[in-house]
Amino acid sequence: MTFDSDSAADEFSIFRTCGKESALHYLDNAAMAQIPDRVIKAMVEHDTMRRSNVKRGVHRLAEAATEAFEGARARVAGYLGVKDPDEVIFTVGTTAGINILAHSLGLMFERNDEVLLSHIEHHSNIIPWQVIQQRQGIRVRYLPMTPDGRINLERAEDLIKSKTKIVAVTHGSNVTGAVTDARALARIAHAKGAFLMLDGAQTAPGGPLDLPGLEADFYLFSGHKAYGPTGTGVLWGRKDILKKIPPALGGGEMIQHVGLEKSTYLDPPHRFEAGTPAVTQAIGMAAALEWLSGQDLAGMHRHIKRLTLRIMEGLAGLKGSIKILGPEPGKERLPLVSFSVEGIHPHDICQVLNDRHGVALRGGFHCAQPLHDLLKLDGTTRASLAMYNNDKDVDAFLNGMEECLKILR
Amino acid sequence: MKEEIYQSQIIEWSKKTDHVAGLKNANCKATASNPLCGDRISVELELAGDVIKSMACQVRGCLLCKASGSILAERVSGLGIDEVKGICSRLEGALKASDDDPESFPEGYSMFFPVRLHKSRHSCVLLPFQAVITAVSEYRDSSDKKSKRQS
Repeated sequence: MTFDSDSAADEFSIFRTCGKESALHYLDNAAMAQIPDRVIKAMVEHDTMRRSNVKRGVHRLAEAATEAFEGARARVAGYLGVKDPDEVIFTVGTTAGINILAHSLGLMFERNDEVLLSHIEHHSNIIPWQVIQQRQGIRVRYLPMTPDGRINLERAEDLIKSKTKIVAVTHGSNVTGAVTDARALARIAHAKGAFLMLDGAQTAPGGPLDLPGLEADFYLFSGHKAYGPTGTGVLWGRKDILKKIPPALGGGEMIQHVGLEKSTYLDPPHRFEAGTPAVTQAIGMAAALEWLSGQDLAGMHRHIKRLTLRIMEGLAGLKGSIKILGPEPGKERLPLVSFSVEGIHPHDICQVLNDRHGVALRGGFHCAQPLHDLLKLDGTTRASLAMYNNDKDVDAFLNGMEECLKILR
Repeated sequence: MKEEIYQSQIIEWSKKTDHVAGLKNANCKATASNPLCGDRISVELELAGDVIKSMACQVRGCLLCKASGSILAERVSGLGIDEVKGICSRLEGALKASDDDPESFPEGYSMFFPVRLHKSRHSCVLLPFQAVITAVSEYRDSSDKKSKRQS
């Protein structure tokens, strides 16, 4: 099996429909990847053949839907490299997952306990903890950033203290593209009695994971960045820890017994899945991950890495003061390139590339305002790649950038 | 061919810098920002009664915001805040309108006609107006408080 990006692109109807009238070079994959037809088909099939609420009905549709839903959980567990599907909690996305974790785990925090984040976090991994800080008087501290956009792990020994309850950081930055050495951080955190949470929104789309190997305690990702439907995500947690955490959200589907004064809860994962879950979408997400697992992953990574390098080298070769964030070419990074151009606002770049070249980019803070503030940048432009991108996309981007610099300067 | 947002007129206006320097006699100021894209504009106004005598503005943002700020700084002298609000309202209406009529734009703003097709960019054009309206409103609130304290 060899990887062919054109064959991969053929599985996505959107490139035939939206790319029909005018060019579409979709380089906004870090925000949302496109969805292959077979994933849409899997969801349609479920809704036309097995649609029903899950977990409690005894009729045949309910049983079939529950089996499909729990089957999806098992497939996600397989993708994450974990044996126990009960460690997989379905959420509606990474943001929701971090909120569930922060609010649930937060119930166990005491005043002056500490949570350690980093300067390169997405707002989704800052705000939930700040809410807990305001509610319970805990302290939120931050690991600094290295000059090449990584989390500075050399400061971890100092900043993780006996009061640190959890180190919650990105596994891969959505702005700098830097990948965190999870295992090294896990060992420091665990030695001090703290948990490690990884925001895997940008790393999960890269292919099947080995979570036990990362040694993290919690890992989160979104389905929509991993070729799955919107409104899906996963909070994975070690079962021995999840069993000790009280739920922050209550409702149906998560209880053992409800009394007027007191209620008891089911074991994880159901304890953290109050209300009717996004059944169809969870099945779609599992289908997407299974399809992704079936690709020539080594070939896919080689292809995306080459395109990423082309973007970096192409930008470096353009006339104009362009600053590329993150690790240098050749160093490990996610398939995304954020950059700033002196004197030109990211939204102007995005607009020109969209209008004149059909290139879809993302401009602004990418939900990482503290990172941009530290770098004294009013925003950056980001090109992010997925398996279906090809050299034509990169050509369109680089030609567009060249023209953009001429027009907007 | 699509309507081009970045016409020479907009680019020229975005590059004007004669309104950037602060005003000596400024008596009210405000900063407005758009958290979605990071546009930020700081305005200083010299207000005489209800009339704006002059305006300075500094924009850290996109070309549309810069151009809109430059035009407003040049045209605002002698206008009352209600007139500024009126222009802002007409401009917003023209950007949102489904009819393809450049004439519906306030005088001096028809260059923003192609922007109507890009809803996410409307706020870039309108941000300078918001800053001016906020500056005057805050100045009035503060003046009212002072008057009450004195009486």
